[in-house]
Amino acid sequence: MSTICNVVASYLETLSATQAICDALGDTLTFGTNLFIGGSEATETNIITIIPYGGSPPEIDNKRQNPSIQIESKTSSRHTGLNLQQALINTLHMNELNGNGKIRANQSMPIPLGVELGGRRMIYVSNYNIKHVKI
Amino acid sequence: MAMKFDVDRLVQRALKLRAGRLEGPQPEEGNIGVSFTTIGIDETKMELDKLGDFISSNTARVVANIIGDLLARSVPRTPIDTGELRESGRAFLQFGHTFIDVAKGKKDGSVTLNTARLPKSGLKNARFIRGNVSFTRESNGKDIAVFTHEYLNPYGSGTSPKARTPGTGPKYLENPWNENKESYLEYARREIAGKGMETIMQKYLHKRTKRVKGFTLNYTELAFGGDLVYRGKI
Repeated sequence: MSTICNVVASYLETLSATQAICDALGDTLTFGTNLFIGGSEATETNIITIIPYGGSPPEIDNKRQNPSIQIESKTSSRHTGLNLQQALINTLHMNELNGNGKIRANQSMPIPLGVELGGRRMIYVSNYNIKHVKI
Repeated sequence: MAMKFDVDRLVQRALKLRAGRLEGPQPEEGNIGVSFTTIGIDETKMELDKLGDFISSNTARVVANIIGDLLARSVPRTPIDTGELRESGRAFLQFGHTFIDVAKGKKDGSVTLNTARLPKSGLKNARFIRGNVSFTRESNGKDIAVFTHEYLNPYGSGTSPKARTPGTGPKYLENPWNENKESYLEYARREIAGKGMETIMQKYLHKRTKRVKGFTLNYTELAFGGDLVYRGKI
């Protein structure tokens, strides 16, 4: 069963290498390699993970839903993390995800969460609300 | 406010005019004077002033109830290790430069409500009323409140955060807000501008009668003593 996380991931996978997100990351996004859903045990640097966290209740007509997602990045440098997250916010805010809904960023800049245990990867997050027709 | 047509005075004036005893500027022959006495303007102004205070106090009560409820829903979901994060939970009102604590979090997941009356003095000239719910906790230069709220990924750090006991976890403030914001907005609509406002206003409206300039003035007084206390639950 597909969720809105899959829709966002599919959208990100279609972005070309010259797009701002891929440019900041230094690579295109590929599911299972540097793009994950739910959580990631990957140890590679420069990855992003789409994590759902509930959101508002569905509309009473039970046709539209209002979920929230977080996009977490783990990068080798603060510079890359900040640029990547800013590009995500700039690209995704008010984006219609190829006609599948409308996504809205909750912050104008990413939230730094510090360094991962062991001090290897910088963690930044940004949060989004999505309005979409039930999938 | 009442406005009376002063018939007695009018008749007296007509009689004086006929008898040629009217002092001051004489009206032209055949004309007749009319005078009005308006009473109740002072009382009306006083009640309008009170109405402004009442609306501010009622709005503060509604906002206080919402943020108190939000904190009460957030604290039990807040991760607990030492309990300091939960105890940092605070719901407070801001109007102008005045801050009023509405509720504080407790280690056991409950909240302590400040049941004091809302101060009318600070609200009188308030141009906005803002409700805030916040958590603050720092340790070793790390913002624990933000990290525990925002770090969703359970993998990668090597260990599961100790504080995440069952039933607690990240987004302990944002999720209760997202889940309840429609109810809060509906509550605010009802209590600030709808039936709830009418009901509470009825409680404080009292019919009054007094004599003013020889007339009987019937008016309605808005009598509330700043006792629009908040309950913390809606």
